[in-house]
Amino acid sequence: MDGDSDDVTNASCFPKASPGTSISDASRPAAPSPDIETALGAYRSLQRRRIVVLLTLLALLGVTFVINLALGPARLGVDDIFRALLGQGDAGAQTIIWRLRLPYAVMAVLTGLALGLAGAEMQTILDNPLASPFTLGLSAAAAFGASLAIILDWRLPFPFLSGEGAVAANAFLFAIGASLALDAVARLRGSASNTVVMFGIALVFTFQACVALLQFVASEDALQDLIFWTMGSVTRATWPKIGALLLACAIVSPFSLRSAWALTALRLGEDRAASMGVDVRRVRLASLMRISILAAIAVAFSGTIGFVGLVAPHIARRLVGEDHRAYLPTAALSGCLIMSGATIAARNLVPGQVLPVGIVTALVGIPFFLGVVLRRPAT
Amino acid sequence: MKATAYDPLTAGPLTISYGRRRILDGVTVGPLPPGSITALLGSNGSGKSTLLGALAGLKASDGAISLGDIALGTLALPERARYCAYMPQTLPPPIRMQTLETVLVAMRTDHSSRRSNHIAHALKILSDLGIASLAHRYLDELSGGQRQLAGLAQALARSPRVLLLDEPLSALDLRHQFEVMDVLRGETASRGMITVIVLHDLGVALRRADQAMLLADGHVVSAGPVSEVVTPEHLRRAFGVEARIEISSDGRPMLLVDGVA
Repeated sequence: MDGDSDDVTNASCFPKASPGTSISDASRPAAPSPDIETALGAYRSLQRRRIVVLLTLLALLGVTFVINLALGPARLGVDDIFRALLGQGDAGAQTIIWRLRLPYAVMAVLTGLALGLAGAEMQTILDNPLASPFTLGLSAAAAFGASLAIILDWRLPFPFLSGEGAVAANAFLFAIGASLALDAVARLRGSASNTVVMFGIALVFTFQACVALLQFVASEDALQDLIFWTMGSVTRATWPKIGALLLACAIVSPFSLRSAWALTALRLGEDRAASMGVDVRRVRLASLMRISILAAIAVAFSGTIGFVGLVAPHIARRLVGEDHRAYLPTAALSGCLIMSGATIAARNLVPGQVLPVGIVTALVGIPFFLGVVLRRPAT
Repeated sequence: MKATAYDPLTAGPLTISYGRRRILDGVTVGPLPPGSITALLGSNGSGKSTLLGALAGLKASDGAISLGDIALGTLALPERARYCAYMPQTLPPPIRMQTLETVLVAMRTDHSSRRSNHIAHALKILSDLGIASLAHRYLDELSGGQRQLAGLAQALARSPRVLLLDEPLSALDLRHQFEVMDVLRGETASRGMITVIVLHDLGVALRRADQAMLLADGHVVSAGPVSEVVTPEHLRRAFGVEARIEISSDGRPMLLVDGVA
């Protein structure tokens, strides 16, 4: 029973080593040491700021979501939208909202959430700011799976699925396969996360080469389908797909949040975390499983959308720091926001056409990214 | 089973191999009494860090490690983390977290009911180490030495029975080196900790440690009171240098190295 909590409570009463042993911080002579009230206040305001950031992102997401529903060839007012959402009013408006705009908008948000969260966890467990489902080969593997279905009509595992379903299933299988391979390398090499990153980059090039090979032998129609798929799009959204992605997010994200402390500890350094009682291997593997599920489903339904998983974590880190209780939700919400904004652009940039969202995510995300990341850190 | 302040740390014989290379060969440690500082000395690659990692439970080893009646070696990591705090040689990475936050994370305490106690505890450690003014600065804005002090605060804040430090002075300037050693002396004595420190500076070991273990090629060359371990004969065997121990004008031993043996 001599655990930390006991010691912590009477911590303030253990004797100071000796009056003279305190180190003066020679590099900043003028800075006064904060007393406990100041420190507590500063800590509380830090937490408050995080909540404000989260709420702001949520509000922005709400705004982009409504814009997403409102903009389009058919002019609908905000009241039309809400009436249609409630199943009232004009039948045409209801069809437009429920069959077209709402699925796109929801799919965009969920895809952003899945990719943002997956990217955030990936950068933590691999201790690499360049890690993301896109840069470590999950997207490339999914693209190869999709191209097998599109070009060679290869749908062995799911003969009962047709067309689009087979493409998504193939993409999912290959993405899961790629993450299992990453996982196997992580297991074999233990803690060497650099090796995992190298292996991921090798996966990217391998699958890109395979896709190029298939493109070379593909018929013109199939080639066009494939290129459209790889550009990434949420226009393929259907309610069953949304249901599947929603289910995945709902199941996975509570586990992510439950590991928040262990993941934060991991950021302090692997050995340090281990000595704090974190089972580093288990945390890393569990996280990799969560990443696989989220990223594989998102990529299978929406194609390769590269930018979100890489950038959302950086934005979150800048906005709220790396306490994962705040960092993970912020990264997820940033992902939602980027995708939601990108969908607006994709649907309205060229009149009468829906651009593949994969093209515009980078274009929309870059200003946001630069604004947050290149900003001088507040001191 | 409860560790009291009188339980010594004992370990071994420990043998650890990487592949066919033996890093540690039947090393026994202790008994190290509470309230004492033990310096782990030896040349590069002699097995100091490996031994420290084994004591922390981070390296699989075959021997027993116990704190009094408690078999530390058989405890699961979270259990063991309540007794041992370990600070690796690598500096804490420059992450986007405030110093105070990282100490709180290390303490794993966020029950809001007692938050002010925890913050007071963390702040006390930071001010003992002279970095209270850095409490609300982000680690990615700090210098290497400041981060090393933050890492030390993380380990100390856990109020361990056994404090294991791998070269805690490596990034510190001269003044901070001595000040940190003084803080460690004070905390070790007042809390009855068993402190084991990997040190490169034999002079610091001579002046500030109670005991020492001198390793060479995974074997113990000598172990015991520091003045009996750091001798010309032992240094020749462990480091291959000719050295003398002289008594300085203040009556304390000092080390002079004359050259390679």
